[in-house]
Amino acid sequence: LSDFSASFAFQPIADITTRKVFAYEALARGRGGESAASVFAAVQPGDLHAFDHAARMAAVRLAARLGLKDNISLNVMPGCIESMPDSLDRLLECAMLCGLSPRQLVLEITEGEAVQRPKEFSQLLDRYRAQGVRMAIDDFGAGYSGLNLLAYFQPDLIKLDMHLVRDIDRAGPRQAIARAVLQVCDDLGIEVIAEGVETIGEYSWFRRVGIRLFQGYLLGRPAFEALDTPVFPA
Amino acid sequence: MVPASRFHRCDPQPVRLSRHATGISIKRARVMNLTHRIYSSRASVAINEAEIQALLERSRQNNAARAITGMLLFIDGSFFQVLEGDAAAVDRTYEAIARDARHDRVTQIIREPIAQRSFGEWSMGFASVDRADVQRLVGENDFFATAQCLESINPGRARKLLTAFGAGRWRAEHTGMHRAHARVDERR
Repeated sequence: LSDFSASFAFQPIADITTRKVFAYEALARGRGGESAASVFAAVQPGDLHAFDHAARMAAVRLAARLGLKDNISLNVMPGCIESMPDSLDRLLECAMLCGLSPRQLVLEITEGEAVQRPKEFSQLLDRYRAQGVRMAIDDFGAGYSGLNLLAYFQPDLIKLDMHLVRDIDRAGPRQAIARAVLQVCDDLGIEVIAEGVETIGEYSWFRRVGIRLFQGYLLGRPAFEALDTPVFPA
Repeated sequence: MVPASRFHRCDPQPVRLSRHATGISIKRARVMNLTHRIYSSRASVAINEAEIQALLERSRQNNAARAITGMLLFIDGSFFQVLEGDAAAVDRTYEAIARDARHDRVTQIIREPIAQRSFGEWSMGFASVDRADVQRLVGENDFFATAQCLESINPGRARKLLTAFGAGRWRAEHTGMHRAHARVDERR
């Protein structure tokens, strides 16, 4: 981490069927644990892509040093891949040098960014899928045209947007949308992660409709420079 | 559509699965652009078990020669097939199937690069299930709970889609129907 000015917290994505960690999402933090927002605020706009690239490399190195055995989920700004075409090749190289397999890498792209040029984007990502890297769409259902995106690009995973998850056990329209998304994902072999799960009511609703992968404060908060074990609700 | 009664099954297992060794080690054959292409279709004419077996036999020979592996499911008149191998070989095979008069409503579900085969040792695995079996299976969480040799399949997209097909997705007779006409009617 010597040449990288920030650090990371890791939040578990838990598999409730095996009661194991599916992956840890790397979340940018300041060296003293400061918020992601303050970290990004300190980056010059022109340096964002270089920062994004360096962050993934540093996250992989730190996770490996912490003894990562599970998968690691890393955020990607699509603009970064365009301005640094070798960014993901270097990431894979870095992961393997650290003793991780490409199959342990999950790349998260937000729906809003992926939707701009879905076709080109999907071709780009196919190169890495062939090496076993998995792709996730983050913040799915956040209000762009996420479902349309799936016509061009079928990721391995989608993460349901937190706003859709919030209070879902008491909100009919959200349940209807979530059920529709689940049906589309079942039809296309895409696994769904419920993200931002904070209450037992939300957790129980998603468990009832067959969700296996959960991320959120209820199961485990982001832990600064640590791979914490999640708590499985009763 | 294939009437369930035309299905003569000689073995009492709910899911009859045959695993067919390829003879050559396809798993180790180097393929440059490893791809899988997954589709569903409907049998255009009533097809009996003997005809399916003949079709399978021919496809297994072709597939072994082209280093294609995969899985074919046949449930109540609907086919679901995973083809995996070199992209060009998979595409040629798929296009031949799409032109085949025995297949109707050929629908591509997924075509994408893969890092490894899910059915590396199978020139074409096959399972057929009749209507009564489907009724039993649909109620189960895991369609393949009873099919032991499918447990070895990687938990990737191909397996997820096989499970979805087992639960009724992508099958001709399970097309979802839109029913919310009431609101529009009220405004007339």
